[in-house]
Parts: sequence; structure tokens; C-alpha cells
Amino acid sequence: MITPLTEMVLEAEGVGELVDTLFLKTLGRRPDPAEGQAYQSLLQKDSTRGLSQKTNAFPLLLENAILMFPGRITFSRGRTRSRRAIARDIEVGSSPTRALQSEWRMNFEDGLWALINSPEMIFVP
Amino acid sequence: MNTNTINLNALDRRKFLATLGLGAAGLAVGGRSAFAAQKLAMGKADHCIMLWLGGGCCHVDTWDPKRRGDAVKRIPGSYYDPIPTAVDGVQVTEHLPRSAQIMDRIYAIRTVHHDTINEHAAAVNRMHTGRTTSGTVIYPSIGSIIAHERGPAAEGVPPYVLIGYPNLTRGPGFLGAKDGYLYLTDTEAGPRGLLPPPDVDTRRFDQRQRLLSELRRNYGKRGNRDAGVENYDAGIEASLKLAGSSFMDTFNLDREKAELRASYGGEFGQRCLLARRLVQSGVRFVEVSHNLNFINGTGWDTHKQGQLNQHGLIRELDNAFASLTLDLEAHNLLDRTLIVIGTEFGRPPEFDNEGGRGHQAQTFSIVLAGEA
Repeated sequence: MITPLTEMVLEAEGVGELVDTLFLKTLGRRPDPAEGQAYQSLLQKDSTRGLSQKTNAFPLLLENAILMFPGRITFSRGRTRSRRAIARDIEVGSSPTRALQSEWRMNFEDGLWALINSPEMIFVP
Repeated sequence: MNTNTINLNALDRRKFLATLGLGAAGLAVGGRSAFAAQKLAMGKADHCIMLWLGGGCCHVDTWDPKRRGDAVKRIPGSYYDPIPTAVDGVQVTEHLPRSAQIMDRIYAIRTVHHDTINEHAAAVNRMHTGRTTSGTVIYPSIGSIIAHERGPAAEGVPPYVLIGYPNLTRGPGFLGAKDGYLYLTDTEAGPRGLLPPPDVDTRRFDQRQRLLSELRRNYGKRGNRDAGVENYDAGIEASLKLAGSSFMDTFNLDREKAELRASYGGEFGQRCLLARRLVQSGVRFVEVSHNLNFINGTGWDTHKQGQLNQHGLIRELDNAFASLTLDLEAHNLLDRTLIVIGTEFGRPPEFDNEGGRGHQAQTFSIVLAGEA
């Protein structure tokens, strides 16, 4: 599934810009030198298999197209997906995007996790 | 009348008038002894396990039996027959047979009273914080006070664990997150807040912690010292310490023998067994909640038809409580652990129009076991 974050990753021109945009989107500021360094090393790992190489266009188009059909996500009658799969989606979240290599994607997720749990990101319900 | 302040007015006046009569010298001596602070009696317990019977456990049907009544004819009295216990002259209901046998380790305080209204939330708060509410102050619960005063009994262990749903009345109030509780609602799963998702292995977990430490360190360097953020961050610090540690093994009930687990009984019993393990690992205060949906649907709040299956609840309590007491004794922990059976109020001996009972805070029972 293509989320705004996946789009952000795909549209960035390089790791430096990606880290800046990520911080701006989550914390509303640019990273300071130490943070920038830490995140760039995180996201530059396996760089040949991560950001710069994407899987071919067809799965991307398919993911986007599926979103356009109503009833796909949760309230379909189960013709496209089993009830158990839908329940799992609600519990665990939908499957990760195929546009990014999974190892790189997992590093990105770890970085995002740290930002969400930082003292600057506090939700007051 | 303000129930929170000790009514010293009458005493003061009498003392004042008496000491006046003794003259100046007498006033100095009499005055000092009259107003000297009372030394608080301190117990020897190192741990406390509070079994919380939510809904209001009927004392006349459990620990303080009266003559037999009749729900159909609406004659006030106990719903069950009493049985003798290990202590001469003390009786309890017939549905507490195991507890009756070990009554020598148990102290039933039958004269508990409060005049917070007979409404659940207010009474639960009263029993957990010891006070009525006042303005916007959020008072700390007894568990948080103990956590604050004594901390955990071992390294790498939280001081206060709640086995039940999180609730403001169990919280640290103005003491802050450091004296808050770790909670879990399912003994099978362990505390959700400390378990990483299944696809996060140790390598990823360590990576996450490193990045988060980096961000937290930088935040500290920028010099922002907001109390609310500090409080939140203290919670993060505590969970990071606990999450990967050996403390998590405590929740693994499969380590216990099957016969022991069976003697404790169902989910409530398993929670009590977990409480014993937590105490062993160094947790100072554990609250074990008896959920509303255990057994009869209404929990201990036996209005109307909830009364019919109350005996099931009492038997479950009996098994769990007796097993816990004996198990702690077998592990040589009973002389250092205080077990409290708490509830927000009792229930009157009169029956309502469908055979159940209402609420009664004027007199009810709180039960202690172990070391006071």
C-alpha cells in the first residue's frame, strides 16, 4: 500500500534530502548535525538495495489501482479478501509496500519509530 | 463535616481549658504533650499484593456472616450459611472453605467505614487514594505512594504493577510517571507496552533504542525543561530499561507446575500466581483486579440477578486467595508480604426487589493476610 511516507521516500532526491524531509514532517524542524549523521548512516546502509533501486513499475501501479476500487479496505463482502485477512489488516496493518526493499524499509521504520517516541512528539489525547 | 480532617476541635478546646488552669508552667508542659505528633506504627512488610474486588464485595455473604436471610421473602440477612474457621469463635461463609482452614494467617477487619457516596467511581477513588477528591488535585494511589517511598526491591524491576485495566485511581497523580504502574490485562500475553511487535528482532530493537537515545540526548542538550515532557520521558526511560530485560521472564507462567496453576484456578487465580512471581522478582506493590466479566457478568456488584451466581465468585476468590497465601508461605515470603483484599464498599443485609443487594459503605470488611 502506498502511503504518504512511501511517496516521500520515492520522491526524495537523495538520502540527505530524505532525512531533512522526514524530520520536517515528523518534528517540524531540520535535524541537527548529530541526528542528521545518525539517520543518514541508517538509511545509507545497503544503499544499492534500498532507496536507489526500486522494484519495477507494475506492482506500484497495481497497488495504486487497487486503492481506487471501493470496498477494498475493510468493509468488502469478502469477495476479494477473506475475513481473516481483513481482521489481520486491522490488527497488524496492511502489508508493507513492495516499492522498497524490505531490509531498507525496516531500517526506515526503526528511524521513524525513534522519532515518534522522542520527547518532542507528545500526543495529548 | 469534612471527612478528611481529623476532628481535633473538641480535643483542643478541652486541653486548652485544662492547661489554662495549670498556669504558665503547666501550659508549657501540657501544651507540648498535647500537640506532640503521634508516631506512626510501621509494619515489617516488604511487599504488598492487593486483590481488588471491583463492584463492592458483599461482606455479609463472605467474611462477616449474619443470621440467614431470605431473598425471596425479603428478610434481611446472609444469603448462605456460615462455617467455623481455624480461629475459635470466628465464622465465614460456607463458600470460603479453604480460607476458613487458614484463618490463623488472616485478619478480617469488619469495621471499615467511609462516607464517600455509595457510588462506584467515587468509592474506588476513596479506597485507592484515601481521600475524597478536591478541586483539580489528582492524589496518588496507595501503590504509587509505596513506589515513591520505597521503590522496587530489586534492580531492573518496576516498583508497582497493575494486573487489570489502567485507571486514574490506580495512578501516581501529582507524584508523576516515575511512580506509576506497569499494567497488563492478559496473563497469557504479558504487558503489551513492553513487548516489541513480532517482526522486530533483537537487532532491530537495539537499533531503535540507539536512535531514540540519540534523539533524547539531543533534546536534553537543547535545554527545554518542561515538566510535562520530563514526566513523559521518565516513562520512556523506565520502559526501555524493562523491555529487553530478564524481568520479562516473570510473566512466563509456564514455568510453574501444572498442579500449582490448577490449585489457583481460572484467570483471576493465574493473576494471583503472577503476583507471587512479581513479588519474588522484587516488585513492591501488585494490584490484582477481579474483572467484571469474570464468572457472573456483573462481578461483585450483585444487584438483582447478579446475586444468583455470587457463590461462583466467592469460590473463585477462596481458591485464589488461599493458594496465594499458602504459596507465599511455602516460598518463605508470607512474613514479608501483606495481602489485602480490597473493595470499594460492602452491601447491606437487605435484599432489593429482585433478590440482589445495593451498596453499603457505612460498614464493610477489608481482609488482610500475611505480615502487617
